Amino acid sequence: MKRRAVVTIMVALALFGIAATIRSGWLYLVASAMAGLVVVGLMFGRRPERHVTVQRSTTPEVFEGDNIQVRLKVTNNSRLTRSMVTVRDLQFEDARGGTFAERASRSLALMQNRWETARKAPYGESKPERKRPYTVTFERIGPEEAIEVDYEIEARRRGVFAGSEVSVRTGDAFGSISRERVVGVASETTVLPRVYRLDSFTFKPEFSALPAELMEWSRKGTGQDYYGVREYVAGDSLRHIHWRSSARRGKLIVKEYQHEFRPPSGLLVVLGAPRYGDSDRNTLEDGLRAAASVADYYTLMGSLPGLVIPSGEWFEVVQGLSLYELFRALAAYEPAPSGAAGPGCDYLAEAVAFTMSELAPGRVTGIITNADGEVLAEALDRVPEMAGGALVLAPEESYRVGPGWQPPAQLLADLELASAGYRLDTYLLTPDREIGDCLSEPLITTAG
Amino acid sequence: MLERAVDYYRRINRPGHPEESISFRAAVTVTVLISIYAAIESGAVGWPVGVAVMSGVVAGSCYSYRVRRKSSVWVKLVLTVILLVVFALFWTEVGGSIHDLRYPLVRLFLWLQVLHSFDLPQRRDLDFSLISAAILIAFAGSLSTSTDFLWVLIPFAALGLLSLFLGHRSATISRSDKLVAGKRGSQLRVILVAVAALLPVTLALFVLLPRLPGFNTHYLPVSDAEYTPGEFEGLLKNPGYEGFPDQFPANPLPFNPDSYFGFNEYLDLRVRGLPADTTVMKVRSAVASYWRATAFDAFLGNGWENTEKEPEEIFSPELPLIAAYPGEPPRYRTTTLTQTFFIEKPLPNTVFAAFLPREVYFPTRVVKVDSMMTVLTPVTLDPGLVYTVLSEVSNAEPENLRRAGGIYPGGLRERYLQLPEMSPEVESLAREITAARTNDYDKVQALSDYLKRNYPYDLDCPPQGNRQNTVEFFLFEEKRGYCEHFATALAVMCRTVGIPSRLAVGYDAGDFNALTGYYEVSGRDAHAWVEVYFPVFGWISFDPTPGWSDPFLSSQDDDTWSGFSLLRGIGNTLSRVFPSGFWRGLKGATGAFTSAISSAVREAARNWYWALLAAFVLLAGLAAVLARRRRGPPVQETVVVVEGPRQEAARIFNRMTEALAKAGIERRPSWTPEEFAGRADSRLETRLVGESARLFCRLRFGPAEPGPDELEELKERAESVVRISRDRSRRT
Repeated sequence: MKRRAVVTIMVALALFGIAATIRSGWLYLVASAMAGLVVVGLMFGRRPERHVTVQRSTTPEVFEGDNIQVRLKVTNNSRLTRSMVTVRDLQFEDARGGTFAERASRSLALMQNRWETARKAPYGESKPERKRPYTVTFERIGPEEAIEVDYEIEARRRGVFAGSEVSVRTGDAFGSISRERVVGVASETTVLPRVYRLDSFTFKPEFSALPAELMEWSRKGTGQDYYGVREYVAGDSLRHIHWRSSARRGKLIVKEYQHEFRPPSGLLVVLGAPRYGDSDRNTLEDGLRAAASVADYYTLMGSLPGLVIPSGEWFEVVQGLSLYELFRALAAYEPAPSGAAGPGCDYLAEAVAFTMSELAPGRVTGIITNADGEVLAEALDRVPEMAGGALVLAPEESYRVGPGWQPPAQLLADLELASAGYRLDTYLLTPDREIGDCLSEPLITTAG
Repeated sequence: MLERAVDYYRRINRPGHPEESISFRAAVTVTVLISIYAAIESGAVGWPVGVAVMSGVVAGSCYSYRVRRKSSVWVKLVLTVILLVVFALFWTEVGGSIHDLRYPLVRLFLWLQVLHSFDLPQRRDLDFSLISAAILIAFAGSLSTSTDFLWVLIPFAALGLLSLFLGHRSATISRSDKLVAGKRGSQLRVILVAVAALLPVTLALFVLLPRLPGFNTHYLPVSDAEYTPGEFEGLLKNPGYEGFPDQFPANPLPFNPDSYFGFNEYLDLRVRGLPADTTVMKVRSAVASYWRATAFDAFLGNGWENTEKEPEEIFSPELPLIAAYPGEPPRYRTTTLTQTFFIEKPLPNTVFAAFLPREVYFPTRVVKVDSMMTVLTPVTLDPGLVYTVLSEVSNAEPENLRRAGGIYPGGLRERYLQLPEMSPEVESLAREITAARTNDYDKVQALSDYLKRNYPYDLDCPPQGNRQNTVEFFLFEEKRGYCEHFATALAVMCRTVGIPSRLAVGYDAGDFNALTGYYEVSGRDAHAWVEVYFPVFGWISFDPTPGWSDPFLSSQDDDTWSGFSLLRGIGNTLSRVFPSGFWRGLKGATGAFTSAISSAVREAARNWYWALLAAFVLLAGLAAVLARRRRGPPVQETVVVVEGPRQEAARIFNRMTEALAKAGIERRPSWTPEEFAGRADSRLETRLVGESARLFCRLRFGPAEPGPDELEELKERAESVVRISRDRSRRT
């Protein structure tokens, strides 16, 4: 029952009271008509969403922040016409259902959020539009009729989605009553973490086990000789595809350089469940975006990194043939086991040691974590054989404080301690800056 | 602090999302205008003010639409100030008119509508306008005494429902990112279906709503105009019988159908005639009662007379006028009944009310009351007059009256046992009827029942002799009659057995109109009945006329479910609308149908095997229908794809394929468009089909959506193919 119905019933009751007092037949009639409006709404809006089925198909893979193409097919399987059927696409929407306490807690948080938004909004502007699910309204669906619509929604959240939910809402003609039914629809979509183009990042092949004089970059514009083109093989960077030649020949052709060398690299991602921030900006999601961006950069530099991520209580190595396999692994990333202060010291030390042992020692290595600074320093202290690379830290405190947070001296001291003895460049992720900006310049650089 | 307060005010008044639907706004405005029209028609305001209010609402609605996206803080502030002034005026008006709050309330709502119409940026504001309009029309309805109000209510309901539908549609669309529009006319069908459902539901609710006693507040409308008497004689003046003597005439009065002859200082029982069937007044009352005009104490043989010619004057500078007579004996077991009378035809200068009128809200400062509690007013009751009376109605039970005792106030028995010279047979009959009764109440009931059982009601009974005793004429000669005969006979028979009684005249309750909530009293409801005195309980009304029940019992009836009377009203209306032949035909058809069924059953009983076969066939058919209903017809799903440029490309290609099929070149489902095009080109000796198919595939399935130029190109090529195929089909 909607607010309109409640108001209508209240006015009808008031008129009924007055009618009883002054014995006016017309007032009885007006009160009856108003109450009848709600009764008819209840009759027509009882369960009209029944026999309405929804099928949904989507783009299988997309980057976070990009648009997903969705095709929705709504079928009215009944013999009656359905009017004003509203279908809302609930993919990427916040959690629904749960216990009363959970729902109350969510409602309270939502109200607080709205109040804060309204309080901070400057006067003269319209009330801010709340992000809402993509909604399609079908003015009329005839008996046994199916209607298909195409639309796009923003992939707001990283993850591997085996299915989604849509809500089907119908009601009476006068907006007194509405009924909503949430149905699950099968449509597999993988939303890869957003990748930020890094113009520069720590990539020090001189720390590699291979002799430095053999290093050559396959990066265009660095002074290397262009050799020609060749067929695309799995693992080649998409950036090296020669599109004009590809179009001409009808298959993928990549630019080949005189000597291609792929320096080995590794990327360790140990991100625990976030404690602060919102569903979009938190240490876990920003850390994964940073991981994807670094992997992209390493690949651009000619080295497809091996990826080490938590797998249950232990770790797994993802050494795919293409960058997209790394992205998929990051899309499916589950938070590392962590305590109240993030991933623990032992776990982190084991992760680093595992990376060193599984990937060739002396590789170019990046570590991305949201562990506590002190824990991190202690864990790195236990892994003496680590050669050097980049350390990307997402401090929980910065997400708790928000804009204006400055790294405290203790953290800087911890990071100094953590990188002491290694050739590590340390980067900090903070919610007030884009990931690309955070990774553009290291906070601490140690020569080892 | 002030700055913070202003900032807070601005924050809470930040503009929301404006309502953009012009049709919704227009429908709401028209709905509001209808409610204002209803208020004008009800008499709450005059036409000049009403037209000004309507203009204000239209101007305000247009202004609101223009500035719907702006904050309009200053307009809101100005409106707030005006609103405060309007409220102050309202409370001032209420203070000066405590008896009927509806007029000030209607005027307040009119002002609110005008002010509110200048601030309607959002949908919810328009919803408030609709609610306000509904309240306004409800108040106008409460002021209406006529069924004609329906002709205002129907367009209001239609426009109101349309507004609700459009508002709901606009809200749904505004919350949607994409709208898949329905076919033309589908919205109208939705509204019609909903209205078709709403009508019976509303009717059922109206009928089933209990008519509760409410908060039992006194609601006392009185006409504004005050009647100040120039000369107030204290005699009953009937505008239909002016110029006749105040004494009982020697010859019968000439009959005037527009006015009841009993509303005089005397009641001439020799008069014959049927009053006109026009509404004389409408009464709003919690229960049905007899609306008494006056009573007569002296029986003259062929008429009645009120012997009291100098009633007491009651004066009060302000209302109410308390109708009390000096020496009036106390009455027990009474309850207060509030009645409001709306006069529609000229009536005599008496206050019609349920017996016994006590508090009179009449636009005058002086009335006269006699000992029979006839309340005389200084002027006759003219059409348009409204007055309210609070009566002390007896709620004594028969058991109370049986134990009433025999102690009468001094002089009462002498006055109300008076009888002229008449046949002893009347007394003999009365004593014979009451012989077995031991108390006055049972005696009166026995006499009344005797008259009801043995004497038919007949308006066509012949006139009596000029000097003939009416009771003898009725009881022993004609043995039929109408209310005056029955009432006179009972009153006289009561007197013969020693029970004080008198004759009362007035109107019976009339027909209850459930729509208006009024008892509609017609000229034909003029009536006469008997009042019998019971010590302690006072005068109690009895009605010996067949078809009528005793008023003191019927006034205790529960009218909680009086809404059902609407159904009777509808039935009466239908019977008037359809000719009597229709009903006879319906009855005949029903009879023929039932007789056919019964003869078929009789025939089946004789030839049972045929009946068995027929029953078997019938059952088999029924089973087939049920099975089909359960399984449902084969679902033929129609897929409607929302139109886009890709679908447009498909449509063009399909048109081309259809044209080729007509020319004998049909596409098999297994052929791809290009395969089909290759075959078609070889048959037509052209390359156009292939080019079209390739272009179609690129536009329909390519990575980018086709642009209008590409669609146009496909269209041109497809049309060329269609032309060629037509030529070919003509040739073949």
